[in-house]
Amino acid sequence: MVAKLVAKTKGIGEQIRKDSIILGMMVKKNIKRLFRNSWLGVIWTVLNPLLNMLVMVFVFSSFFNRAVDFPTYVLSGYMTFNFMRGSTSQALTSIVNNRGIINKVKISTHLFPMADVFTDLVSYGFSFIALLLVILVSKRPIFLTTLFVPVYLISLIMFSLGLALLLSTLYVYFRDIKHLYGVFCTLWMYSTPLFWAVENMRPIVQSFVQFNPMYWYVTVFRSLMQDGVMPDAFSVLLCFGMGAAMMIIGGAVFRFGQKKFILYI
Amino acid sequence: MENENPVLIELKDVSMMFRLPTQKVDNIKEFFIKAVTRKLKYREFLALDNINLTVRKGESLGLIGRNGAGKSTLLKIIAGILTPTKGKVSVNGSIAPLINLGAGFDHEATAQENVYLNGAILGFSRKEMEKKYNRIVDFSELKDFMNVPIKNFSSGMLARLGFAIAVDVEPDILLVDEVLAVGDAPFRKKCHERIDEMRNKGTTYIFVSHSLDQVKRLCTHTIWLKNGRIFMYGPSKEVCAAYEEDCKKNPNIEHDDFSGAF
Repeated sequence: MVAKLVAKTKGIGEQIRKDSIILGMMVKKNIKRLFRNSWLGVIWTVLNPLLNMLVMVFVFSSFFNRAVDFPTYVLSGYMTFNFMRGSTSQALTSIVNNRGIINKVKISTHLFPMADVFTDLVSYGFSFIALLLVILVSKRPIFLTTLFVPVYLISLIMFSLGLALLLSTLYVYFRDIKHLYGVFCTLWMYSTPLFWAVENMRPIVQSFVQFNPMYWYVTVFRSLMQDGVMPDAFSVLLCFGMGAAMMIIGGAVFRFGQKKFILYI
Repeated sequence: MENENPVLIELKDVSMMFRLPTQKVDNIKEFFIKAVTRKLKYREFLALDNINLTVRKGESLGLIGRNGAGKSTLLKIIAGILTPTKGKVSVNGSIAPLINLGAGFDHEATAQENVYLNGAILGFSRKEMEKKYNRIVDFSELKDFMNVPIKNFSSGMLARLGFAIAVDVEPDILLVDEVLAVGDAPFRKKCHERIDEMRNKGTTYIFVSHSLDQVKRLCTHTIWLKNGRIFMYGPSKEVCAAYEEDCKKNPNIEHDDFSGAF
């Protein structure tokens, strides 16, 4: 009995070791493809978020609001939402797109959406550099609380990962999810205070926005980057709680749907 | 059985039932329309019917049968890609599957990346694969194409690469499905030699082919699958002869649920 249990734990450990090697390779391969194996590709990957940010800042700060730290406000919100949207949209098709591999070898299928989420961290990193530049240019201080961003980021990754698992499973069975999710994301983006401030809204909107998970992720990130204030324990717990909940939901759906992937892809 | 080597593959009462939708529904819109109008109908198709199979270490097993007899399904179940609807499968040892030309390839990635990716899937780290890399390239004779995305590869090149990886990782069990059919004659010869070498070293393999000569040459025993059942099992010569006879007598496949998809 004990020997069996030991053997089983060993087997799981071996599986995890194997999976992490595969995951590392997939992420590396994705990044290489992102850079398109050329220096121009690297520059493009760096410039793309930067230019995007500049457009955002230009449009929103010149037309809507003239507050000094508005660029920081827009950028910090936009990059947070963009990571969630980018990684989950990418992961959505991951199972179907890798049908060639899934059909021919035994592989832990959850590695495909996972690799996509981790790959998107690269864009996030570049956006982060862009944000730091914008903060410097607008002569705002960079606070010590920036150091807590990696910890906060774990909760955002958890949330995205859970959603990625959920969506990639659904896409196997329902291919129109892709279009629906695109529309949903647009709606979601405008319901999140990226370009508008909650304080300026009607009370009904103010109370409603609290049901939007991204509101909390954006707010916590802003308090770290823009205000230099540690977010309150409730917000932090909520971020991690929502991340964990999404992982459990996505993981359960994935586990359930996984058994029949091969028959539908 | 005369062989007392350890059992590597054991299948007990394995059945595989596919539910083939009479119309393909893969989006929400149609799913709801069909669910409401109760038009979601499936046709059941028994691809494998109560298969019992024991493969011991060092055995070389051929698998023959008409299209749609369940050969690939059986191979996929042994490889762990498909889970059977009924029955128990136990496999002891590492498996290198080569199903439908080549291993699990990412067609957007280069050949080199695929070598490492496949190595990782089979449980080898990058470092371990680096030692094998040159041998794999040499065996496949694709030195000039290693930086090409394999979506540009021909089926022969894919087969070469897949086979070269599979034999170099020295699996306990090698599953080969028709890979050798697309290679040219010199490469086929090289593969045969390599398979002989592996058999002498004690590698177990299951070999699916429509070339009875290959099966007779490479496998001591052969299974003839017919309509998802083991129709005949025995020394390759006898089974192949009986199969050949049957193909002459009944050139048409006598199965109303024929589906080549699996």
